[in-house]
Amino acid sequence: MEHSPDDFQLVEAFRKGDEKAFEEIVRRYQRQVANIIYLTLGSREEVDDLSQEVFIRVYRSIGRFQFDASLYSWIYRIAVNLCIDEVRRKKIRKAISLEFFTERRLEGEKRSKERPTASDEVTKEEKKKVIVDALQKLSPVHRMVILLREYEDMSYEEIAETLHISTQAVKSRIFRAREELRKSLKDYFKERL
Amino acid sequence: MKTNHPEQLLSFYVDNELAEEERREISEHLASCESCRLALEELRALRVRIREAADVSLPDNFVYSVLRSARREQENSVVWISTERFARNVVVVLSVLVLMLVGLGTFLRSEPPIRVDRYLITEPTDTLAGQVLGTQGEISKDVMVYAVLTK
Repeated sequence: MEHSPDDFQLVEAFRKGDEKAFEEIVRRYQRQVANIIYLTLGSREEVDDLSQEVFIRVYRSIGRFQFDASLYSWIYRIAVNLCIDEVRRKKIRKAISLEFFTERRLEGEKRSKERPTASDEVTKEEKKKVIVDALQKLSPVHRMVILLREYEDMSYEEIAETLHISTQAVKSRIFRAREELRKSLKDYFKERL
Repeated sequence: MKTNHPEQLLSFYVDNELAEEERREISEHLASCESCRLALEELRALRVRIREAADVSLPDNFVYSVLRSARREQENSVVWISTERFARNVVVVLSVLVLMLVGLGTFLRSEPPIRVDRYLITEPTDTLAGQVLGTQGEISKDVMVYAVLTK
């Protein structure tokens, strides 16, 4: 069986000009990046473009990456910074366009009227959306820690290292994020558990 | 156990981040507390549901579209860097030329010093004009104006 190169070997190979190594890095992390963007922003619309932008930034700056954290932590930070910029842009857009609110509300109403309630697939999607919407209600700092813990399965130490915060702060933010999620998903859990 | 329902410790419990002793205490508490058992179930369900919600996948050609865009950006940046360097050199050359022209213009336009008649040397020596006239016998137009104004 062929030995699969680790992240360090891939980065080194790419620095020496092997673009196949970069392709492998993208393949290895594209799904995680796409999902972290989706869960952070709560919308699928921007996922493709932002994921592409993340890897373009990786391509551009991988020469400066020092391996002081894992490759994925570094890629994750790029993705999170991009999401933060996107959230800010959206806020500005929202603030300058009152139409945005009205249009989105009308679209939402139209969609919910058109939605076939009997379809299992749609119900499944709606339930996923409930979770994604609950995540959006969290503050960005709480959302980040809970996603790193629950989705990325990082340890408290790894989260602390990725977000440059103390382990104590990680513990308390995870606890608070879970409390808030449990509160906003109270009805959801009542139905399902 | 200090509290009746140790919610925060449950959070660490579900993450396997408790010391052995604390873990044992929580397990004992869970055996007798239905409310905490339910809370623990919710915490476990939360993780599963978040992972289920993360079902986004990217197009099959994603890798190639990233590479294409990254290469294009790199090519553009090379062109931009060359253009910038060229523009910088042009600015430096033009600046030198302008400075040379200004210098040349100043040199060509400079007026000869004014010859001052001897009788003016009777100016008191404590004024600037007097000092200049007394020592040099000729002064530039600017100094002359200054001397007159400060007289």
